[in-house]
Amino acid sequence: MNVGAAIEAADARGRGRHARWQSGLFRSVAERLLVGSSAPSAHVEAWLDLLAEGLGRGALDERAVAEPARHSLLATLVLARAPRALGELPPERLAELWNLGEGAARSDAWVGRVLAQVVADDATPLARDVLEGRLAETLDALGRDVDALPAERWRGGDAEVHSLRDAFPRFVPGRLRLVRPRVVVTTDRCSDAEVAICVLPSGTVMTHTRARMAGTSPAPVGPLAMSPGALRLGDARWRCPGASAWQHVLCSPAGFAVGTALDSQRLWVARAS
Amino acid sequence: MDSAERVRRWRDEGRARVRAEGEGARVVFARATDEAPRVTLQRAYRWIVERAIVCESPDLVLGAPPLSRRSATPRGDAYASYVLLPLLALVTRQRTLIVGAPGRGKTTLATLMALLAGGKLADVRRFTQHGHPQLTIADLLGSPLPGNLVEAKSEDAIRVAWRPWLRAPVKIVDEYNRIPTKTQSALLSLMAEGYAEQFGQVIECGQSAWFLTANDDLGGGTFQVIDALRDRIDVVVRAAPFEGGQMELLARRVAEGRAPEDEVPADCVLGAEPLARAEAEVRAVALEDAALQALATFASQVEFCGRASDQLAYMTKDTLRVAGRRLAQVCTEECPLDKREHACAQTEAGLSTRAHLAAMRLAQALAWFRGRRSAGLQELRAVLPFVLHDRLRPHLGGEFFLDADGTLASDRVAWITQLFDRTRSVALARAERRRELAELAARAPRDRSEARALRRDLEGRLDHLLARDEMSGAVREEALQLEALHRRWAALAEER
Repeated sequence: MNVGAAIEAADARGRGRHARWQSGLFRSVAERLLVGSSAPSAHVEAWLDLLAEGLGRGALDERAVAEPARHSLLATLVLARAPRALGELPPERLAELWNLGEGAARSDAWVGRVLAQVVADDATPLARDVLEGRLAETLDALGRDVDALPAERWRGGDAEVHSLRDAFPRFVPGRLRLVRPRVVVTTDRCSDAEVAICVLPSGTVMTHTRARMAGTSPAPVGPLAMSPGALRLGDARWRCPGASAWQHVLCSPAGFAVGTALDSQRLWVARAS
Repeated sequence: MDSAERVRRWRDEGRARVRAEGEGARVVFARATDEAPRVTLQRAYRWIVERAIVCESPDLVLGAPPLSRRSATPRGDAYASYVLLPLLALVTRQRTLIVGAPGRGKTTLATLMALLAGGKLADVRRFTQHGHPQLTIADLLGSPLPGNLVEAKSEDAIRVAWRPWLRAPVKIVDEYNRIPTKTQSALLSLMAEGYAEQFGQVIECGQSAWFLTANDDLGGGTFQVIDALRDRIDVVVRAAPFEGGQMELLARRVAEGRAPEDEVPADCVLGAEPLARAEAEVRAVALEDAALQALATFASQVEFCGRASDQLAYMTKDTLRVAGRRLAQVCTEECPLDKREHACAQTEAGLSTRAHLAAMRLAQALAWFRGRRSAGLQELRAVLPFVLHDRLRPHLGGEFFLDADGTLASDRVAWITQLFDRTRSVALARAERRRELAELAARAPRDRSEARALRRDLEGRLDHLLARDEMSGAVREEALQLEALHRRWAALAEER
């Protein structure tokens, strides 16, 4: 198929549909993401429709193009995932992916960014059942209700170590507060900026939050015993390499603890089991 | 709703759908129903000023005044009146006159308005009425079919074949000042009340947004526009001046061979339902007391003529006009007021009720467009010059214009703006007395004896006012308010 002609045609349609049409941006993104694509022409044209709608309506922009997974679920699906799997995505499925992305955009922005990160990786197939199951499972995990983990199920081990330096270069994690059973918010020690840490069964996802998130979650579990390089709750003990001077530690009834240190951009996540 | 159901709904109830097209399929997107019409209109405004008819110098300024009188560089919110006011008139279904020399994009702008309201380009062009000296009422409204006219036994049996444009939600009359005077009369009821009459038959067309264009009179072939028709025009905008920034746009048009009306973006089109929603939202915008008071003060001062009558109520230019007396003579030769200070000396007539209504609705629409819940002085001051542009005739032979630098005689927007500011200054100078008046008006006498006492107090105040202050528009306004209060309390004092 002639990708250039398809881009040309989509560009002309976009101009007729959108007041803020940026032909240059559309063409550069389309050409870059379709390089070497051998997908059927119907798939390519349908994806171009998605790209045109996203850029034309302003749901996607240069920031979304640069870092889809940190922008939104729509950006992740349209700009990151779909172009890599275009051969397997007929127009019907592409339309569904759009709808999922736009639907998620009606949630709180931080929830959308968490969903984006959860499916950003190619390890999550775009097949309907798998992808939507993953989204639903994440939404469930971010929900407000959770049964408190019984004390006998807390087990120690190695804590996860996450550095915020790459994603949030100037952010220095400080005080922590539990806003949902699986969501802890940490505030920058040098500004009002906040990062939400979502400790999901499938992994830990972090995203910045613009508005100050209110917490209505159950009271944290405690008290946690802190010592250099370790955390302890009852008989459970976690090894926390590099955590020499704890700043703040918080334990959720959902079964994990998060800690920040005075001298580090890292944070430690200790899961109960 | 559980999370799986929530995700399923996102998937199944979204805007994207697949539509078969030829041998392939396209993803199409339904209109975003949750978008506020104000957002669509703001997008349309930006598209027109940036891509369709480039307007680099916003002249409708709110907030702080421009850096200098000659500069359009705004310090507050600023918009291109040429684009914004027609858009607001579209939403509020008002009547807009676009004036300017030939080739300035007047018809294009009117056409864009009809397209933004959801019209098809072919229909818009077909329904556009073009004024010319031979245009008859039948050409404009319609006429009976010849067979029907021959066979009809009475006027009731005549069936008029109405012209299809009469039912268009947006009506365009190009070069309306080339319509003969007699035919202009046929537009009156259609423009103001939304119906037309021919051969005893009536067609109800409903309220529409109207866009009329007019060239200057220099090209010939134009007719005097009757005053009644002129007063039915709610707002006048002047074609945007040509600016250097338009060269790029023109070059693109030459290269692509396309006009703005060929490429109205779909996401700027409002359609019937969003337009109705927008109109309802505009109506819900409150008019602030300060704005209403300023409008009343302006109208009162402009309307005033102390030489027209000895009675307060009839000291108006309308009294002079009805009597057939010329303002020029009365104002210049008989009136002792300082013509450079008093607003009454600058105009030949006052404001009609329609002018008041148009100013209020447009101020509401402007506040709505800016995302405000109420329309205040800023909005009123911004729209008033365009509402009164053709309604308020300057008294060019008067002392004010002889002394002024000449530009105010040609730039009506600037002239009306200074006139409004002048009336505001007068009102501010009398603020203390007006505050007392407001306090008096708020009093509620408990019984007849108190009402009588208040009435006597009012009589004293009125005598004092008329004896102390030279009669002017502002004094008359206060005296009329005192009289109105006196009537109210007199009725209470005499109640049995």
